[in-house]
Amino acid sequence: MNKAQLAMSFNWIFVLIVGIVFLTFFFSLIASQSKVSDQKVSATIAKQFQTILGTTTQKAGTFKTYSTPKIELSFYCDANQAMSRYSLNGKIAGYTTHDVLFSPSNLKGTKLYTWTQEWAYPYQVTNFLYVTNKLHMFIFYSPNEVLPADLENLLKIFPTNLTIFMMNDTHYPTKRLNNNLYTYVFFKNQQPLPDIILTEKSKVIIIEPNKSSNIFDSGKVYFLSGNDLKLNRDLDSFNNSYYFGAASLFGAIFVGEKQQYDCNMEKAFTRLLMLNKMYQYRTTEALKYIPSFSNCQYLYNGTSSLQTGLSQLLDDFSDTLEGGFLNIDAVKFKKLVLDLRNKNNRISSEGGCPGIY
Amino acid sequence: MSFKLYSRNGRLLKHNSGQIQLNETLFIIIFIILIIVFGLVFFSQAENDSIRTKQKEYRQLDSIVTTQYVTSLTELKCSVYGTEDQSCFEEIKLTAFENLTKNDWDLVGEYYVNKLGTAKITIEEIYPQSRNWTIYNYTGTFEKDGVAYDGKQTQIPVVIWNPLTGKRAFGVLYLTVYNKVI
Amino acid sequence: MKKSKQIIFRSLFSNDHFNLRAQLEIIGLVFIVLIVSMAMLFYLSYSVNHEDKQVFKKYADNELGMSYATVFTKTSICGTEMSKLLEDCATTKRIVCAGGLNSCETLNKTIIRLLSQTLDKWDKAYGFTIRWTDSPLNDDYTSNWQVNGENAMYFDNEKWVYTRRNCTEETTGIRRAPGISPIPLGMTGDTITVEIGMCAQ
Repeated sequence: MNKAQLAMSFNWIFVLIVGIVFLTFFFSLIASQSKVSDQKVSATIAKQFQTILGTTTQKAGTFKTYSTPKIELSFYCDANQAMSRYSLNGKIAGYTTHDVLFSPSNLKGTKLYTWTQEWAYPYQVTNFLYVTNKLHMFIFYSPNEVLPADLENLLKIFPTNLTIFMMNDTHYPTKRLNNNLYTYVFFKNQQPLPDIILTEKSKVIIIEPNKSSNIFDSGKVYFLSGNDLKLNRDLDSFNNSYYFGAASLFGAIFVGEKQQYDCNMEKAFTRLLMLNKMYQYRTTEALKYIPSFSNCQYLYNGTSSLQTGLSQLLDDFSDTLEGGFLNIDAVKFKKLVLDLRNKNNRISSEGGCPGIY
Repeated sequence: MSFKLYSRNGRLLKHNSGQIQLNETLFIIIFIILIIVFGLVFFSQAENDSIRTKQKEYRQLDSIVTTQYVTSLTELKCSVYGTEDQSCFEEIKLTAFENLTKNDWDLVGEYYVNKLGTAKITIEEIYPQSRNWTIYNYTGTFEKDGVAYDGKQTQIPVVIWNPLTGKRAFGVLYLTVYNKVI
Repeated sequence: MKKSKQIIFRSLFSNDHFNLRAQLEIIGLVFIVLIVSMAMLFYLSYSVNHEDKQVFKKYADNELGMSYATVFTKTSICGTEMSKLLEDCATTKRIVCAGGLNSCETLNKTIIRLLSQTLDKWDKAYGFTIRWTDSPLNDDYTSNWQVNGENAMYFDNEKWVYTRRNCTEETTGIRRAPGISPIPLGMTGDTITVEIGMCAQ
């Protein structure tokens, strides 16, 4: 082999080595850029969702639809750890420590629905945010064509843009589609409940209102899974929680499980306690300007044991709320709510007296 | 294609083509590497600028959310038997809220810091009287030295309503949100 | 001498193709340098001229304009509301306020006080106009809400216009949509409108 041929071989080896180095470098650059780009998209979506959370909760009664790239939203809430957060595509994207947000724990898809409802119990406390998507189906049961009064009242407020299925004994979902969530909503007075439900990864909510004339006032919600319904056990053996007000009932329907529901209601009750303290300060401040021995002052301060004043009611209410939602004395709580409502109505209607709301 | 060098008297000098080729190749490689390095530096600078711009944009969005939140605070809004007046704060509630944040910070502090962050909120009555209330002032994270913060003040006119007299005063809500300088 | 020159000449041009290739390579390198420089130049010019979106400023200015108009008309004054005082000033001028001043005089004094303690104090470029017109929804009206470039207070028999510090030439000229608060005048069908809008700066 002469020198020229040797030189040529070395030339080619050199070219090969340099070529491989350059290609490796550029391919690794492309790979890292594509990773960065994915992170950018996730960060943008996370920020947009954070803004949605911040602005949507300020107006009650709004229903909005958001189109997103295919994402997976997960929500986690634990009242005992005071931990509440959401993740986007597996990565923690934000914390909802003080936001009352009812949503299934996992949402996959490209269309997100948000809905807000004001929770006023007895006065305006906060707006509840409900998050779900197109693949979440709400199945309501009506054995007859004429809807029962309870269900009719519920559906009057329930957003019609959501995926709703009206089920009866002959017409019901038979096949579970990928990524779909199914939430069955029954009333206790519809028992015996049909067992023609999809058992895999479906949730069952059974509503037991305290008053048949007003299902939204207060009651109990039972949280079951699809399999639980087939077990035919006594309802009280299953997980259950109280609900207070329409917003709270809808929260139970959207979330479908006790832990998440209790955790968010705990946040709502913390906010209620804060506001109650605020109204206590307000009452004290108002009393400085209310003329002594006026009707207004009697309504605010009360007259010995015959008439409990607003101040005393607010104090009692704060004491009841100290334990939070998880330890609430439901009977005492409802009584105080009723008393506060009546007291406020009287104060507002008896001229010149500023009510709390 | 070899390059031959001859001296002035016609003698063939040594073949330097290999060395010259090598030098040429070396220069080209150095040049390409320089271009790549410049390109990378330039690109990372561009990315940095883009990230900084996005950060500023997101910060502005946060400020909007905070402003909307403050103007819709249930604790301060006028409420006349269930209906709420936009751009209206109740005078008694202003004093009450001042007292709440002063005396019960343990209960409410975390909530408001989470919602408002480092900020200062003052309400000033302009007409007919001249009074003011500082309802929130939290600068708790300003402990790191060498980190510069700037505050942008927003002014929003509000009605200050006295529920006992029914009178409405002209007031202004001053909201200053403090952010780290980007 | 001639021979040496010939030799050098021969050596230089002994291989035309090789020399052409070298020249082409140099041109190629120069070309690459030029492209890279131009790309950097374009980017630099873009990044220097790229304007901040000013999302928050636009929002704040819109909020300021809208809430100012609403709050102004609802403020209590002279035992009534500002809107009622405006109505009286535009029609019967029956209301007498503190110091024996009539509704228009009280309004004038109060507006100057309010503006000096708010928008003027904050060094805002704004336009404050009170207009008595037949219909506030008139297209011409809404697009020509800025009248003159000077502070002007004039009361015209046909139309009553009070305007203060309109947007000047120093600002960008893009006007933010003003906050408008219409006040219907009894049975006549006329409306007084209070408009406050910030100028883009």
